[in-house]
Amino acid sequence: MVTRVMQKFRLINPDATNRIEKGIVVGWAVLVFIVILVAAALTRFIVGDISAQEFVTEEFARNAGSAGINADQFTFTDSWVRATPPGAMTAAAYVDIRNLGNDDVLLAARSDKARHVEIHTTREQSGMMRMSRLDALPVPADSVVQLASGGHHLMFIDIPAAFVPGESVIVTLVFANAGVRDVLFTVRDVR
Amino acid sequence: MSTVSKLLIVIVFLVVGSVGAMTARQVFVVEEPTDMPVPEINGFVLQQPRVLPEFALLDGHARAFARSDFEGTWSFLYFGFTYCPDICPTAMVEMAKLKDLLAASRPDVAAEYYLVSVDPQRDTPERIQEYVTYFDDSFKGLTGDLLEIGKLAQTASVIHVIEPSADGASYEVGHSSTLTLLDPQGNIRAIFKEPLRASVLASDIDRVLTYVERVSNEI
Ligand SMILES: [Cu+2]
Repeated sequence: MVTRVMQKFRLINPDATNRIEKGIVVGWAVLVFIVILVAAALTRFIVGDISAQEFVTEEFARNAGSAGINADQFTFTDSWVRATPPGAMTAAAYVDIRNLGNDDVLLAARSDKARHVEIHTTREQSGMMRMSRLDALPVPADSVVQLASGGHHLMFIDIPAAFVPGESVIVTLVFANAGVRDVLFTVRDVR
Repeated sequence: MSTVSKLLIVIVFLVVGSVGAMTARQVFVVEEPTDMPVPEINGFVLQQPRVLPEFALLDGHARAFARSDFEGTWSFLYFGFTYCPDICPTAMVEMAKLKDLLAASRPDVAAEYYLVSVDPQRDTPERIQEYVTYFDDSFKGLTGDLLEIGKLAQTASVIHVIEPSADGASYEVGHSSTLTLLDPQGNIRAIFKEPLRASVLASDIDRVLTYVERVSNEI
């Protein structure tokens, strides 16, 4: 196409051919450059967002709930939910919370997999095992607080669907000082 | 003193000592009860089988279940509730492991495994059936009227309460976490305590079964 345009110009004014030719080449180059810029911008707009999400997910999985790229004061390990029998209305979740920052208190937990999530503790009282709700669970500085079977647990109340082994569940933990952390839990069948 | 005299004294001491020890042993044996020693377990072995009262419950198929339905096999009873997400599933898992261990170590002993609900308001027969069979196909659930459950629980030394929660919107259930062993006549022979661990239970139960067999042979 470029050649044909140049040929036309040659017919009209052969003396000016060189200058016009150069001008057209530069024009096309600018056009291509603009197209590339627009394409790059579009790519960044579409793909860039996805890769950012992927990055967040990877970071999320690696750091299990860290709220950013920088090291968080909390590390969450062994976070899991007990797979539920059919028809179950409740489920229990467990996690080890390591706090390398200042004293804090776990105040609440939320998940879209249950109507309520409560912090519970199991205790033996006058020959009976009972679980009861805690309004706050202290997470002192430089310590690991374990939520484990037979002790503390996060209690999922009114679950709309069973917890299937292998499934991932995001639980938001609310701390008094450090704010919220999203923690990834894995459903385990421990039968 | 001559060497012979010293030797004689030693011999006399030895003879007297031996006779004394034998006498003491005889005295000790005579004083010992003739009954089999009760095995030491993580729980209690009942020297006298405890007879269950009559009760009327429902099984997981909503069929009537009475005291006589425990007869014919050994039975293990765990009192709990399906709404419980931590202690009860753990106990059910250990009970399933126990079943496998006993099937291997005591294949001669036929046993049934039950979850008796202490929360019948939520635990319908259907609910308890799907709950117990999740842990083992053969497990059975019992539920029904709370008063009827209470009769069975009380005899098994199980205490349980239902208490409204602080906000009044729900209620909390508390219960003893024990495993009760019934003999094939339906009488309580042993109660195992927390922590209920299948491996410990299996060896404890083996000793209880041996004890029960010897005691019944003596009679
Ligand atoms: Cu709970």
